[in-house]
Amino acid sequence: MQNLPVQSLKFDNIKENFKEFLRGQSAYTDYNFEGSGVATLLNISSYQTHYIGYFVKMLLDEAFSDSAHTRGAQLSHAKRVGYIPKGKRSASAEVTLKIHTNLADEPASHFLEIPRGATFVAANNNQDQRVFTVLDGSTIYKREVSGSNVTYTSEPLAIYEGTLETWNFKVDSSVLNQRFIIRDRTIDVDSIRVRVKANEFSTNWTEFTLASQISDLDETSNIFFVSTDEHGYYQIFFGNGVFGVQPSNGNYIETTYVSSNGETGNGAKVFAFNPVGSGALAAYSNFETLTLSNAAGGREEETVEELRFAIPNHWRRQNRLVTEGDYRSILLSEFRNIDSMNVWGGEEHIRRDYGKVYVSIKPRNAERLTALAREQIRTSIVKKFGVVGADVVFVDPDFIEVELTVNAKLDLRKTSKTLPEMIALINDRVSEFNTAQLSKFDAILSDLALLNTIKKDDETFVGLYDTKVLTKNYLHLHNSTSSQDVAFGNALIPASIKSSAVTVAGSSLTIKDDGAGLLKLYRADGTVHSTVGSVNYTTGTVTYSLPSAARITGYELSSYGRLAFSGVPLTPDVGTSLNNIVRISKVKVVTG
Amino acid sequence: MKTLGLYSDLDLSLIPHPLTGDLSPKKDAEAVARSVKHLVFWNAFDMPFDPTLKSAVKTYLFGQNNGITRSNLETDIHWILTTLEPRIRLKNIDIKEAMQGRAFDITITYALVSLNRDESVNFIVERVR
Repeated sequence: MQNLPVQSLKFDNIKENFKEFLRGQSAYTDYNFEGSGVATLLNISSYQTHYIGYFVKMLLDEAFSDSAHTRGAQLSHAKRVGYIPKGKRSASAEVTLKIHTNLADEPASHFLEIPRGATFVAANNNQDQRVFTVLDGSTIYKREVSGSNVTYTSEPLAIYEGTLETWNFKVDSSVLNQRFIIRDRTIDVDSIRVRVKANEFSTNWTEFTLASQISDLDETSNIFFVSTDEHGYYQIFFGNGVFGVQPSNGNYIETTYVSSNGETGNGAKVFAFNPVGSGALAAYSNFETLTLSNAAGGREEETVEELRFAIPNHWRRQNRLVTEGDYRSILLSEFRNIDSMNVWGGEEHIRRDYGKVYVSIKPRNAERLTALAREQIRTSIVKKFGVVGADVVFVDPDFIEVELTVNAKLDLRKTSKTLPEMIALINDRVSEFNTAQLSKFDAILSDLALLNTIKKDDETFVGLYDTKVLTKNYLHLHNSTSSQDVAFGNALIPASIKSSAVTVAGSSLTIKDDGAGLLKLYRADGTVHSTVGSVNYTTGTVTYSLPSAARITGYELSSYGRLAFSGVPLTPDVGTSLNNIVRISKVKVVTG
Repeated sequence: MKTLGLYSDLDLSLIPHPLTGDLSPKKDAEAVARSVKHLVFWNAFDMPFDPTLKSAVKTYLFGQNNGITRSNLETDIHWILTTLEPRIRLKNIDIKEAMQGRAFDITITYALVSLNRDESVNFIVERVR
């Protein structure tokens, strides 16, 4: 069989190999002619070999997550490592609800209940109407009386796009391996709430919670697990009486969840409370909804390619938060509203802080996380997956604002555009670069990439260069004399640093560096008032301490003020580190 | 006529030789005639992954048996034989109506290129249902 090699699974190659083999005999020589009987047999043999080879290859492909093509196989791999594939996810938003009424109509108890399933309506990015649902009920205690009017103001509420749906099951022990499958593709798995009662007519419910790991469970734990069935539907199952309570025959199970429209829920900004179906609140009519964060985080179900990426990642992080990568992986998969994120250990922080983990998140449609979002991350993610002793510190993103001056020498004979049109074009291209390349953690402003984006093989540009001034805003607490660090994260040119105006005892002063590493307060006439800090030009760190009487100009009546420092970077590229995000805030185009 | 053993093919009827019990190969003109007949009956997908290689004789059998149909069938047979049977040089394809329009009487005349002689095959294709 030396001349019958195994080289390929393609039909044509297999047949060619068979022909090569038959050349070694003389009994049947017509194998080269397609109409012959031998050729017919060759076709059958080659097709069979090809078929079996293909079948075995597909079988092996599906046996590994790396190579599986079918969703069913990926779901099976996910189950093996304890990963719950994500279906549709609801967009979530944060709102505060105010209910205006009068003293005669308010409840005697002086609190109001917002029940689970209460809804808000809003329009998404495409102006399609979407319903947002309160998943976990809340009680309003905050009450303000003004004359005969009363206003109840809720705590910040997390609301989720979609409507509340319910599936009920009855436990039947005569069914072997009874499965509780929720046959709904629109389910947001994070929103599943399960409660169990003794029978159909019982009025006492026991709430069951989703178990994420088995180690801390016993026979009294009211928990349920979620996995997917072979068709991709979510199924819930309960403990076995050792790890978690096992519902008994005749028990009635109610599963409630949000039926989501996925990513089409994103972008809703203005919400209106819908009193229908909101219990006692239906008796009121004057509602006001304040939006704390726009709807974001809605997404479609994971594709096969996303599953291929997520399954090994889930296995790698082992359901715990230890390394930086664990934090990234879990926060990105569990928290909905992340546009960009950075995580670093306290040992890398600007002032070393061992044993702590610093997390900085830039949410979508906003610059900073709300307090409710931080609390959600702390309670539902870090507490659930974190290891004992690890302290998580949330740091707001710190923006390095770049004031860019583009100097372009143009040959307008090579274009049909006018000079103002060319200036507008440069502005557009800078804006495009800012959106596509910057405004996220770890994204550096590469001068070369910026100039390439501006030029784009356009022959009109004869010369092109830019200059940059970096600005950082710092929230300065008035009366504080402790030293503060403002980190530019980039080497700065000496004698280029200055601040916004500071008022001390009625006179307007400015902080500037003297070129030798000292920060000084200068009067308007250029004389020095006092030395207020130092600069490390290499690391780009400005350390200052203002006198307690100093006030940031424009914020004199407030307890804090926004102090802006600016400096010229030493290198054309602007790098980022830790919680810094670089973005272009102003563009000036100079042509010649 | 003495066979030269230039062409030899497996007889797919698989009838053993009455004395030796072996399968007897078809040789030369007989092998080519088998091939020609086989190609005329070739359906789409008989050649895996290439459904264009076919003769539509079965389709035409259930159409109207007129001059246009027979002309189309002749074109198809001509195409498949010139494409897949390089051992012959086609001389004539004669298709007649038979059995009151239920069948085609097909006669294919060709020259065997390597054996330097003319041969012809004749068969009747009839629809049975």
